[in-house]
Amino acid sequence: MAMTMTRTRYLSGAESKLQEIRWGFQHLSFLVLIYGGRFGIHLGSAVPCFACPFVPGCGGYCYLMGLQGYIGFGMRTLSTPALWAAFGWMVVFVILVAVFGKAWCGWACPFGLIQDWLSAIRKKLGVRERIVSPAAQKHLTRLRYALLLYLVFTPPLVTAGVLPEDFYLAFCNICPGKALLPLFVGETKYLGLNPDNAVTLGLSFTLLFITGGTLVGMFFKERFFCLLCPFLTLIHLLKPLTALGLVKTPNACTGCGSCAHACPMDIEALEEDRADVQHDTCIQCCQCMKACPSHDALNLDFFGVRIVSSSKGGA
Amino acid sequence: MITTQDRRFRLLQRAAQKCAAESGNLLDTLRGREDYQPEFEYFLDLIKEPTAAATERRSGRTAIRLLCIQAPLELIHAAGFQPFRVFSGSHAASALATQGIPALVCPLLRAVLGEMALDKANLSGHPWILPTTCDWVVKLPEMSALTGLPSLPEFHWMELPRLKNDGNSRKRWMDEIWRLKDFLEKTSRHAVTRTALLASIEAYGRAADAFQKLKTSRASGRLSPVWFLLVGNAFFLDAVENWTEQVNRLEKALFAPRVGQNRHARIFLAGSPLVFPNFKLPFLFEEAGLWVVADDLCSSERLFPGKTFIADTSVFGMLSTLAGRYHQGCLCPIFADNDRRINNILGRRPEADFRGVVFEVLKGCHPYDLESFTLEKGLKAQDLKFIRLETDYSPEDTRNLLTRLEAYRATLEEA
Amino acid sequence: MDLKIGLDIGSTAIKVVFTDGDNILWRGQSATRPGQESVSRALMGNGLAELGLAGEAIVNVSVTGYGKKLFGRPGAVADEISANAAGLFRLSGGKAGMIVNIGGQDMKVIFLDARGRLSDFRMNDKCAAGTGRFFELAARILDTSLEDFGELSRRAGKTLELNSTCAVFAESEIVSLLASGTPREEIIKALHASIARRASALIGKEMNHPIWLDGGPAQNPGLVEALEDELLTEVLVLEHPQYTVAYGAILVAR
Repeated sequence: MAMTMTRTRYLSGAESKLQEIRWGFQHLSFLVLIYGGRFGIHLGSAVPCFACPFVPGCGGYCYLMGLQGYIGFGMRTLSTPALWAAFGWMVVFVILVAVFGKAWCGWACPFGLIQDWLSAIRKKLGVRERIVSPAAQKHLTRLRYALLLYLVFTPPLVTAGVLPEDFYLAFCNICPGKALLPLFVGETKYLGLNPDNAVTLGLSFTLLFITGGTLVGMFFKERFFCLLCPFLTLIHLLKPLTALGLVKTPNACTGCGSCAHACPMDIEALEEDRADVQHDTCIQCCQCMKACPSHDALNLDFFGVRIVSSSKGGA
Repeated sequence: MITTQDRRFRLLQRAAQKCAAESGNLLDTLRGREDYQPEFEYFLDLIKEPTAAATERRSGRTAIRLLCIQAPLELIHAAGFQPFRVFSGSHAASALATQGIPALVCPLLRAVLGEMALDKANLSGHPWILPTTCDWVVKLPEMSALTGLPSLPEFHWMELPRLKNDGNSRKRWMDEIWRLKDFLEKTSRHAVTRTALLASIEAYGRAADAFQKLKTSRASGRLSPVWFLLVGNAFFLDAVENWTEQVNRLEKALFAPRVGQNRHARIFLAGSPLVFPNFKLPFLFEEAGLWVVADDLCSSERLFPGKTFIADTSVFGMLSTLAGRYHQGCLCPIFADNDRRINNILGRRPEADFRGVVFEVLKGCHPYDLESFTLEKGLKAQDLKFIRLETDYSPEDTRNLLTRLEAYRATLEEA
Repeated sequence: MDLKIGLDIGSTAIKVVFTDGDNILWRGQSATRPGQESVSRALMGNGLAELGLAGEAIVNVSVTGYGKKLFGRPGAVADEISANAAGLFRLSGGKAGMIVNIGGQDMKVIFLDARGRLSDFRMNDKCAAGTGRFFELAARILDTSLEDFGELSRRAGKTLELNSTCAVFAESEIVSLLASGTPREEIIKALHASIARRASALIGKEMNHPIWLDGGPAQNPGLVEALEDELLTEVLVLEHPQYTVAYGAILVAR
């Protein structure tokens, strides 16, 4: 009796396919978010991942763009309809994050998938991955907050006339997603210098520099760009509202460290003795659960219901 | 006129006969059991000849001898060797190593010394990998010299850091893993390739999967704990691929649970390793009506701390994952920060559904002895019945142990 | 008459209790020697004869003790520790929470819960130090009957300390004490104290008060006093402390 229960809960064979399901889902999401518009699919302006609006015919708009643009703090017209639209999209964003949390990063983000492709190539070549030490992670966290502040506060400054017009969508202008994602529909124009004026030249140079650096980083370090991504911080800030969370059973953990070894974000805190291991850099890719050799030590909870758990055979 | 040499020769001869009888009797008992199946024959055959030479013949690989299992088996295998664990549960062999060494040496190390003297497993003159685990293991070369072994093997030491949750220790252990790789490459005269390492990790992963199924069968009553122990004990005696195949074959052929099994009380077995032919306790468990549904012995379940998941398939990535598995993931009581060992027991509880924990200590095994008290406190606080048994390889305490186990069984019913 | 019999085949003595279900009708014991089954049957025969009953009156024979497997076709068997717990709990009127049993070859500490169920126990390992066997040995060396131990130890003038509870080492220690002219009384008192120390070590920190002592050596008031002195608690003994296990077998055997 006890054994049958175990079998249904851990879905021994099927569940070990979790990573394959994720891989498939990532590709599906990539197709929808990059090409969806061509087939009449558009998910709106509050998509909590890099659904880049600079991709012609894309299937949804990244909320970071909206946040800087007409639906965020950077509202250029303070008309009532614009305010309502801004508020409405914010509610949509909060709901999307509240339901799916960081799964947007690990399961849906097209830019995340590009990073995973590069990692797959690196793995094929047998090149070792570089680990970002906890000390370096701290610095990167500061940088991530700085980028978020930059993203949120440049648009009002533009509206107020403190910064020149060319700082409109200041984050998009240095986001490597803008440089790389349009390439998938043959759009290459963001991959060059914009010599209109000093600001555009400076921003386009920064974009090229960041893109180049990110490409190198992404090859040697899994999900390198995620460590800089404002979404990681923004979604984390909404964690108290989030229904999807990584939960640990401390007294099932033997401290073997397999989780941290498997984690693309190198989260060592997974080894700690506490229930809440939904770290600020976690992307809910569930690789830790796959690596964990203990039954129920690591779990993904959705509205308080356990949907996936680690097991001896590997999740 | 009898010379000292003559005498020594005859002494060894007699001990060898006793060893053979000990193992032979147990094999006969096992074959005569009601739950015997022909699929066990492979494992019985391996155990019958537990020597490095026979293992080399069976696996087609040169054997590398090891004692404790913190050296990554996948790495040894990827270097083209067959990991061979020098282990013994022979009372006759342990009785051979009594003179000239401390009286407190644990029976397992004593038996290993005895086996070395008999050289049954062809132990001398070949390289050994020896992680620095407990004091007796560290002093093994010294003790083997004291007991008068003519030639000592070459030892490749791996200095095992006794802290697991410490970055510096992990770095030092990683160095030891690289040193082991160098040593293996030097010995085999060719490089450990990435593909070979990946293939080895996969081979051991399949073995872990097969063993996992067997664990489920034991917990559900299809496979008796005695046979389970035998299968684990045979792990180092053939190529991992062959062993895995046979385990899968056995698992498929297992009979339905025997009717009587329901009368057994389910227990978790913790403590010092149980090695063939030291099957005294497993048989006593059966007699007292106890069924081991899960264990944490390094000769049984802890052979596989679960399947290794490799996120980074570079040599560096694989070695660092393995290093973690074999160091951080090791629950041997020699570690200073081993407080999560109890979690391996508590974590198994919902799935294996046991009511008590039997902790067996081999006399002289101080780290296990000490940790039994820590575990007793923690487990009793979780409403698990706990009994600690201190014993050795001799049969003289059988009755005493049985009395205790029977009463322990009664306390499980009350619970 | 429905006769239920409890049989405790110990390492030193075989004990038999006859009951009609609740009341003890007869008890008897005999030294253990080879052929435990026939000794047991002879003992039971004595009981039947004394009660004037025929073998047909026997409903069930429950067997316990280390020799329980030597008794062919028992009605039911019980382990010694469960039988001890059940027997003493019932005979103490449901009051016992902790038992120290000193048997021929072992010493046991048994913990009971409020309902008299066995909850935990401790038992010495294969060493026979501080057990009934040790008493017998001492009695032989001192050339004194065990029954006199209690009375003699009370008469001891000085308090002496024995270095060893090991049956082997104590022998030579007692011999040399005798040779040096130490009075028997003092040696016996020291023996009791050394066994009490051993019991105290086995008990450890946990204790349910008061402690009930049973087993053959419990008949020795000197030992009881020594235990009270060592454990600093009340030690209670039933009238026939050596029969609790045999009686308990009737209650728990299956």
